Amino acid sequence: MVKKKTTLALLPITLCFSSLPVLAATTADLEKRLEQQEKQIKRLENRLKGTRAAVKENRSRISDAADRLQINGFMTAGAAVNDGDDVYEPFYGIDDDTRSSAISKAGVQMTFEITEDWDATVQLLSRGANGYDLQAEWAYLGWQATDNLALKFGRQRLPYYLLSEYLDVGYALPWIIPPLELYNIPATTTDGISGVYSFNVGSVNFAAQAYAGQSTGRTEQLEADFISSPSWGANLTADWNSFTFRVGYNRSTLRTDPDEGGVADSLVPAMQEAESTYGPAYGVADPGNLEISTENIRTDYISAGFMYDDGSLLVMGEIANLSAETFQPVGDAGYITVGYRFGKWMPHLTFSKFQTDSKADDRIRAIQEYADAVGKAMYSSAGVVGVPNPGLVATNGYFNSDYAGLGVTNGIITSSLCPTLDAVATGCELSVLGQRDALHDAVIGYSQTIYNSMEDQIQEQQSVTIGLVYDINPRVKAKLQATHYENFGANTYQYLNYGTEVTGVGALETFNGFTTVDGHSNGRFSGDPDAAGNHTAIYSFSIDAVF
Amino acid sequence: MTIKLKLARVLSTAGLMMAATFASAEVVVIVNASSSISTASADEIQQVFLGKRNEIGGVSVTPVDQSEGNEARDTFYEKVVDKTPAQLNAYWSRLIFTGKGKPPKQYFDDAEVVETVLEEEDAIGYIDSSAVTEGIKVIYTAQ
Repeated sequence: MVKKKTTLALLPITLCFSSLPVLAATTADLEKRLEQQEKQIKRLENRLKGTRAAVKENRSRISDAADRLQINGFMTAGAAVNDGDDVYEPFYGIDDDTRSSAISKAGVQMTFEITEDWDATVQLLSRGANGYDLQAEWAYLGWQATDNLALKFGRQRLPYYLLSEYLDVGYALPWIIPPLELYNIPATTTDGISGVYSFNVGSVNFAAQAYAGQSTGRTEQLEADFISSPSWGANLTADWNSFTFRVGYNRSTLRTDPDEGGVADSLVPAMQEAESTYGPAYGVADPGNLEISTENIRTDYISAGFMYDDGSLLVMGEIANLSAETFQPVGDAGYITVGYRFGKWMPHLTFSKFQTDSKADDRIRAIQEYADAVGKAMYSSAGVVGVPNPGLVATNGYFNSDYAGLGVTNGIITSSLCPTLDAVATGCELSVLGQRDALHDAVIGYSQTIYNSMEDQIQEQQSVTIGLVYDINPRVKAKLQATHYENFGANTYQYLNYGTEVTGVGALETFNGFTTVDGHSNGRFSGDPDAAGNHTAIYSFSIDAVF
Repeated sequence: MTIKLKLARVLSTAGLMMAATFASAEVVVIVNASSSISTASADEIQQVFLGKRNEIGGVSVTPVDQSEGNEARDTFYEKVVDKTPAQLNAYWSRLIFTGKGKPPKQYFDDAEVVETVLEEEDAIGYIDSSAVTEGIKVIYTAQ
């Protein structure tokens, strides 16, 4: 142990002695070399500094370009199904086949800062409900005119309601399908100009927005495209702590372009003809307030909404009224949603209701009454003079003897009389028969069809939605939703009742006047809710993400 | 005597360690030392970082954010802004996709935030209190 210690202690001394001569011999040399190396290090340091500065400059140049261009996106992937095979949801295209196209969509947004105050933004959206066609929802030049005033020139989302402007960003909404009773305006964008003026009063943040432009859209219920020009509106939003309040007003003037053979395409000319030709011919007074037109249709939207979100509790609701100077199913709508966050889970519940208001209903009733009066006048006037009404019933039952009356009573039947009574089953008889059928069709057209199509525009609907949202991570959510739609409203439909009778010229149809049948409208659905039991349900799930 | 000294030393070391532990979980809101802002309320800071206001007491400010996933960021948004990362993303997506606002620029870490606040007089940022340096003024401490 002692020996080892001694050896270790001696080692440094040995080393010292052995290196001493070398050191002594080269001290001057070493100093020189050190000096050189120090210079070299300084040179390298300087070069490094230069490189660092260059890298920094480069990085800031890259980050400047990167800062100027912002790319964001959002997407929803999922599926929805309607549980009844008799009704069809036209807005999203949800029927009894489970479809991903109904709710799936993706959007990408690019914003380029041109200067500190000007930017160019484009948001492209592809919606399954729209055949995945790529469309620009936003495409504008933005100008921050002052600290408080921001202007946009170009295409923008219409700010009709509380959530309209980001209704396709599923990640920012609790629902998969927003309340259809309110969120069903078939136009989403306007091309024009808008301004937002922001200001604070105490701790309340206000934003006043106004816009004017031109919009296009499509109404599935009337099967027509439309252009609204001008469309303009204004709204005010107030943010205070966890509360948001908003009121809005919008006005647009529509011009419609109905699909050939669609609802609007067949109704409008039929009603215009009733007003211009048949009403006057049969002495039915025009009430003067029918306003049956495809142009210059004024629509007004008024809405008020609020949201409370303190991080745990979410309560939001909106009420709105839409009015249109035409036979549109428009009126009052509202919903209320309550949700509560338990960590990553948020269950929520929504009640929603819609009904056409008395203003819209009165307009529709006026058109119905007029069409009905014209139809009934044609029907009864077509009878034989001196034979009790309803004319055609008697005429058809005793066709051989009373045919003569048919040819002279009104503007529709223009046949000459058959020369003799024994011209049974001759061309003359058949010609009169044909005229009788034409008259029958006309009656159906002007009374039954118009009346019933109009009746469908008087609507009611309510729904209850339960949903669940789960935060998969800070940028991805999973959602489940079930909505039960019901109370489509009781309506009355009218039909011309006819049977078959055997006569001397063969089987003839006999007409027994109009009968009314109780039924239900479709609410906001298409199809036959009576067959579905006046209610239906939609189930959906989705994954929503933003980046 | 010796025992007392040792005990005192142990105690003070423990105290320092505890202080250090607290310090690492404490987030402070900072501005440039030359700024005329001396204090701010949580409400004001929240509104600045949510883009609802661009001044504090009449002095204009530009918020400086940190990268997602940073501890200081999560603490700041939880304690001062009262939002989870998911809620924050939902909030900003409503503004981004309607062209009504964009989130504050994000910097890599405390050091970059400090550097920016030192360079820019109107910058307002948040950092772990241990990263406070000379030239920086703390205007709010998140409890």
